[in-house]
Amino acid sequence: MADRAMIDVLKEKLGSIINDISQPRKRRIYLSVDRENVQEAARVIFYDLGGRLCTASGIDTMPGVEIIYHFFIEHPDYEKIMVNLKTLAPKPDLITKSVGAVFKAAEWIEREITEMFGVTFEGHPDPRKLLLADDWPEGLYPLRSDYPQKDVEGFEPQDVDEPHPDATHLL
Amino acid sequence: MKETIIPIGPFHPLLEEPELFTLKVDGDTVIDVDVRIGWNHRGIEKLSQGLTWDQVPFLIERICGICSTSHPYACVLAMEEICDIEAPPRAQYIRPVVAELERIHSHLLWLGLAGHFIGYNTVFMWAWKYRELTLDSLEQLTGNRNHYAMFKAGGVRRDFSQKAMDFTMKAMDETEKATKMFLGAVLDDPVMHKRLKGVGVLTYEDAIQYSAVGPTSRPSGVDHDARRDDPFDAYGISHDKGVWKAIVLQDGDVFAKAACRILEILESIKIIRWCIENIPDGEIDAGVKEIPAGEGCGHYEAPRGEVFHYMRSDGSNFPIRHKVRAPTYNNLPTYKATCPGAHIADVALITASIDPCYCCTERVGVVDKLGTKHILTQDDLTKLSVKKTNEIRRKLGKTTYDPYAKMI
Repeated sequence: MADRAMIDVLKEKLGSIINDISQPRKRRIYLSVDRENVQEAARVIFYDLGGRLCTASGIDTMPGVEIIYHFFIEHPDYEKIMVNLKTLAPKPDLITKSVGAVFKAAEWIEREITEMFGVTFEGHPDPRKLLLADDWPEGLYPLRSDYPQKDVEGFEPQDVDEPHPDATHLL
Repeated sequence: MKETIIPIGPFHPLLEEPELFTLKVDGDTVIDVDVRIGWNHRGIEKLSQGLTWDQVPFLIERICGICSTSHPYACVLAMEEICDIEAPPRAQYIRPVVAELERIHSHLLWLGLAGHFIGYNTVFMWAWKYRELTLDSLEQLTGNRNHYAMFKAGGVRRDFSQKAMDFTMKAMDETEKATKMFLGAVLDDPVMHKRLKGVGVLTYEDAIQYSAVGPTSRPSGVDHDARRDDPFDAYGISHDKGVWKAIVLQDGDVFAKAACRILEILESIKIIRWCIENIPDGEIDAGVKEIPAGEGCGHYEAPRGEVFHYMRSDGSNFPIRHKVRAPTYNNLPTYKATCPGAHIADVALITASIDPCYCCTERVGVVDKLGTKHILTQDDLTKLSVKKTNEIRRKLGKTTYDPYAKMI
């Protein structure tokens, strides 16, 4: 069992780049860094502190898309604790650095955040689509708060009523 | 080098869910694999952000029919974290019972399907027969065989009756007997050894790199379990008292994954028995009225691995963000590490939810070298099967499940 609190370890290892750090309740730490430093912070938490990436969440807020990488520390030398690393991809360009370039576990979730919020992750090794259809219109991001609820212009679902010519004998 | 691309999916009669696996093969050996998902994207996160806090667990329960307790469990833990409350003691014992029963039925379902995929349908029949006992217990306890609707922020919706708990205790005795029989009969079978050992090995380093979870990573030596590491409800107390432990194995192959799941069933039975024996009397609901502004993370060790929910509230009726991450999301990309180098027939087994037609076809008509056709009766097939099993057994020498048997 660890003799030092994780919050102190984080302050020591990442001291200069942390903007804000707090432990609101038992086994939960929230810290935020600038987008330029997110790769370094993720590298330290993943490789040095043995943090397993649970997932990342994107949230559309007023200043931009907030991205939270949720880690759970599983290193035998440290206490078991959840570390939430926050960063902001500011509007209007929504660009941040890719954590998927640091370790593979973050690749899929960053692809998903790109589709859902339109965030660009610089240096992502495989920036293809993951969940949405290939013919999904450009510039339409479902989890943004300004996503139109109906009648999306330029998006026509393919007509499925017309039978395929090869299948007409079935009718 | 010649490369051939074999697509499996997205819609195939034998796939459970639409996923597209693009296999790059050289001869029979897989060089690379690419996974594409998204055909089943239902926009649950978006839907959840349009529902009231009370309605959310009902939606979340419908993410998965098999994990219909694990998702609400993580979800209500996240809500309770925002409110900074805990469920009353009796609810803290009711929740693990439902969740562990779900784990047993999920593992038995997987075991049956895995047996089916390798052409071992006896395992399929057995596993699904004993799974009925668990489903009956769930019906007695909660009123439903699936989608139990037991979870709410601050407690549970229904209490257990004494009669149902007695029924469950009896059912657990039967299930324990059956599980031990599986441990002997399945893991001692030379066919299973030959088919599963050394196949699809996920190394410790890869499990860490991809952040794999649950019975995918624990057989590779990764010692983690959300129930133990971040204790909540009755799990913390029961683990400290030595009632149960996380099963961690070292080999990382399909055999170890099967063994891990069977051993986890036995641990679940211990938790259920302990919870039912020690269940306190009292309230089952803390009566949460409003969810204040704030954010919370909830995670629970589902049968397939850790389920993770992140919720943020601005103090209104609806969550403003609800992130859901199911265990398979982290486990699927590990195919990039386990499939290359494997024989194409093993891919079905490694992915374990894929196309059985590469694995096994039962042959009834046999054409011999002279071109004459024979029809084999069931007796002939049984004789052939016994003969083949004995041959393999002779070749392998003594097979045993001792290393795993010690862990019971």
